[in-house]
Amino acid sequence: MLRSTQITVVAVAALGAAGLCTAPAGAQTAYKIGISGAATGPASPSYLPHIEGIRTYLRQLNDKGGINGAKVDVVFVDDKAAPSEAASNAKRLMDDEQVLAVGLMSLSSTYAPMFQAATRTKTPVLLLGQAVCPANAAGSQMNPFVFCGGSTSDPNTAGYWQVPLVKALSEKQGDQLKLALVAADIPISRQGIDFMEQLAKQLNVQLVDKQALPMGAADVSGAASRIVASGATYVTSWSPVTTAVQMLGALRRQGWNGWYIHNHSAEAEDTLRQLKDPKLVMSPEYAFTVEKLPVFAEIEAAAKKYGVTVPVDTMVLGWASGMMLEAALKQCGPSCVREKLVDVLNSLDVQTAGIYPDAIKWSRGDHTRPASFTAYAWDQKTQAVKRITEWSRVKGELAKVKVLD
Amino acid sequence: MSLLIVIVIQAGFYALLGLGYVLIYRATRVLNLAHGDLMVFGAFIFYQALANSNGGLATAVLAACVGAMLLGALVYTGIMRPLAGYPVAVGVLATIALGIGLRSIVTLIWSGQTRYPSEYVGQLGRPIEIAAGVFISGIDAVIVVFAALALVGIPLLLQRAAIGVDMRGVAENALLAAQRGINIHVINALSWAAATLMATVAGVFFSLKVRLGPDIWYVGLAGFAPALIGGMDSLRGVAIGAVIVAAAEVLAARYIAPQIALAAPFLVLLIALWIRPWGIYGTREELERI
Amino acid sequence: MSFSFLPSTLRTAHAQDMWLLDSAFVRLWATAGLAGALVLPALLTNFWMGVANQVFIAVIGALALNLLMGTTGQISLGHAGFIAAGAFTVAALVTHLDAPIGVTLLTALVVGAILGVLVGLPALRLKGLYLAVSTLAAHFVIIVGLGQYQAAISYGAGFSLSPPSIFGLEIASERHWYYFLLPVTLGILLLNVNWLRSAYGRAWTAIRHRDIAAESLGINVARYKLLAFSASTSLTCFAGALAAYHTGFVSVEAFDFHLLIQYLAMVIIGGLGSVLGAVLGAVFVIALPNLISVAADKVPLLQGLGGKVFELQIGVFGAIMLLFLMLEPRGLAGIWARVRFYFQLWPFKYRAWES
Repeated sequence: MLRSTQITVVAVAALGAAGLCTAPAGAQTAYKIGISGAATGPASPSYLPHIEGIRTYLRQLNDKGGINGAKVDVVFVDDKAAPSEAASNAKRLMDDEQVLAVGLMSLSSTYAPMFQAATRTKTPVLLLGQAVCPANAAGSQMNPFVFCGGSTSDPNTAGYWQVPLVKALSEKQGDQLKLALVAADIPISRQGIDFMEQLAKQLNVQLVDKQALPMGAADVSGAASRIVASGATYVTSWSPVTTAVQMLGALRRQGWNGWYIHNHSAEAEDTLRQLKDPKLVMSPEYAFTVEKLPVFAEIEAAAKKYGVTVPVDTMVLGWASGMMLEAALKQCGPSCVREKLVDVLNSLDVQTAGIYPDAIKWSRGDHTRPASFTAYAWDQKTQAVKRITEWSRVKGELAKVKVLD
Repeated sequence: MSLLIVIVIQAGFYALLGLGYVLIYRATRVLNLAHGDLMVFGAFIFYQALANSNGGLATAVLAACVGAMLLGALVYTGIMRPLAGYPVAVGVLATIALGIGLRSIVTLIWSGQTRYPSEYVGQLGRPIEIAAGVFISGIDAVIVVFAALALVGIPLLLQRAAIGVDMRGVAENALLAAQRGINIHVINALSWAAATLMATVAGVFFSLKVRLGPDIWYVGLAGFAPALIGGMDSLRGVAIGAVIVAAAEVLAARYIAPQIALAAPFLVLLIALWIRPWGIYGTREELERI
Repeated sequence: MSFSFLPSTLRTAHAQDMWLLDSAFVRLWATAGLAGALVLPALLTNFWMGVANQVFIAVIGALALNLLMGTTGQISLGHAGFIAAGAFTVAALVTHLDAPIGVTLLTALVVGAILGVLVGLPALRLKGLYLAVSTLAAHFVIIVGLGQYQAAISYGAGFSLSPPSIFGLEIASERHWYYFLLPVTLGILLLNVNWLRSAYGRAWTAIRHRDIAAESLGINVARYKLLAFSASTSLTCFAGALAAYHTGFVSVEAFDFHLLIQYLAMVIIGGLGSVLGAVLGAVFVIALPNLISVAADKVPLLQGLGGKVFELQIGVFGAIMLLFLMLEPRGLAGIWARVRFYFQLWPFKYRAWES
């Protein structure tokens, strides 16, 4: 009898001790943040560099003493750009790790399970890196826990810039505009070119082909031969960069000599530099490193210090994401909880040292990032990447594009 | 006409891959599902050599070839030889395991970043007009020529050269060949080396033409479809298998949808296996041997 | 302590041959295992509960694959495709008809059985390698087909499933799932063990050893091969359906080549042909990546790896699979058996009646 009592006492004591250990301490010891991203898998080339970027940013931040005297504790998980992995990551980060917020750096196919979990657990989800903003990030249909901090505006805003850009380039060249649209076979990319199709009709642009290429396709020569046969003079894509490069390569090999306009992605600047194709245009919403901003030197120094091997220009967006996160946590203060963080994010106003030309500004009814666009191409004379249009702020209507000489 | 060119180019590429599968199968009766990963590995050796030698194409190709043959021989002696005598399934599973191991090593060494080695070779990617409105790029022409050479040259080598005759002997009956004093392990290691070389050549072409990254293993894997359709033990079957698969893929992309093109090689393969499981030129007894 | 182990040579009645738990040792382990499984939820965090639930589903899938590859000797590389078929059966029935879980799970079983016959038919003509390849081709065709369906119905975004209810009880938390999956998995485990002890199991084993010899013993090889295929595929689809509900989300990218490799790793590392092996393999394969990523957060040496740790996980799988194939083809189950005999016979080295 005595023995069983003793056992009970010991067990209760042990449980109590365990409870004490896991009980939240009064002051903030660390800000726990989750990052779920496509670190492996076919989409990883477009997302891994951002993950490295934010990781490096937070490392140097922690080495400098953290935020409000507390370190940022980041749990990185890989979602392989697969929805099911994202679903289990959401469970792990939001339920088990009890993170303050989740940064999502992956393909749009992972959004649905992550947003669902965000609503359920009232955890803010920040779309970071180049994660695309969904079409309904403002207004009555929006998810109040999803914030767009990534480099890619929603499919409509992108269309409002990209279709006029194509038209302006064609007018500058004075050639006939026959447009083909290319998407990757993922939901948001297809949505994007569907909207571009509408805009093209509105602008009286002649559309000759539209297709969606599967991610990780071996060879797209067959698909390219269809575009060549359609007589397109301009091709534009709104997709991860591999889709664009593959299509452009296949088109060029078949003797096609038209303009190719792509949006952008982690590797956009690097790709321009590697391909050296004067008729390839990337149109980002952030500054390429050719703009020589002081922040780029800072990134380079940090990359060198921590032995990060990915090219600096691909880490830029991860760096900007880190800045957003830092500002939000700083404002959230020493005893930050999810509810308070959502409030802070709803009125956040932060500059990213010029990486994004506009300040990131969210409000309760609008979680999109104010966006300005521009375009870059390879300049053969100077053998360097060069900006070819002026910056243009785009919001809800067709952009005004001014092509530089 | 230009569609035909596209099919021929694609067939050439598939033939290079298919030859690798057949060489290994004839020697060790293993379907090498790590072929795509060997391809990626070889292509990365090429890339590294290219970067280190500041764009010396010949040096890089040579380095890749030597590296690939060493790798192939190593895989045989390290993994396939100890597994000899196990059921055929074990060999296949071992190559799957080898494949994911190699993929992981490649990413750990060279990271998941996409590369475009075409920047080093300049004009090769330029299209050449061979008829009015019909173009073929330099690299594509090289692929087709090289595939044709390999398709003619390898069987010839096996027919005429002494080492080729040994290889055929081992493929036919390893026990008898060993009795005759042929060192079958050397011969098998050579076959693996040759197959890895073919994989690497295909990988180098693909990376010069499209891109280089750890994710292109999938491209190399698709090469088993032409090999099987032609007949796993038949070198000349590869050519026709490659043409069938390439035509299916390109036509599906052109006239149905690019998404269907991904499944086209395998769909054709399923139909072929159902009608003529031993392949077009394969030997029928091969089905019973395993 | 009475040591009541009855080797087959000392069994005196037919009933003793029928015992499932035939020795004190096995009984002890079975009781301890069950008791452990029942109290486990008290010890695990929510995250590890989720991992445990994934293990249950993986056990079902691995048992199914083992039935085909281990017992019957028919190599199948279409497993990920069949799991996808099960998950999409649920997605389609819920999306179009709002069907309850009972209906969807039963339909998944039936769909699996039919699919098994279709894929099994070529197995009557093809062996070994050629069969492996045809099932792999089937995998790619199924995946691309389902991808087209997904693109057409949901703009490619995938299908969300709300938590299922059984008899009015909603299975939402990991804890609920645990107590739902535990009996289901145990049931399927028993079913498998009993299959192997029946005429079916003996026929399947005979086919694995030598199908021509099996035929001359009067076994209808074609019939039993098809039976093995449909039993296996049916269970696989069932596992896929459960996984769909557990994840709450169905999308075609989840069922790629990597999933197939995971299942192959389970049966190989566990030990081909062994029920215990399939269970051990499932536990190992599901737990390992989680352990590695936990270790990567805690161990300073691994922290420097950064994003590469995910690649390392995959590579470690490949290496372990290769090592087992080359050094211990009987897998974890083989190691377990050796350990078991060592303790059973201690202080002796071997049993006299085991030649």
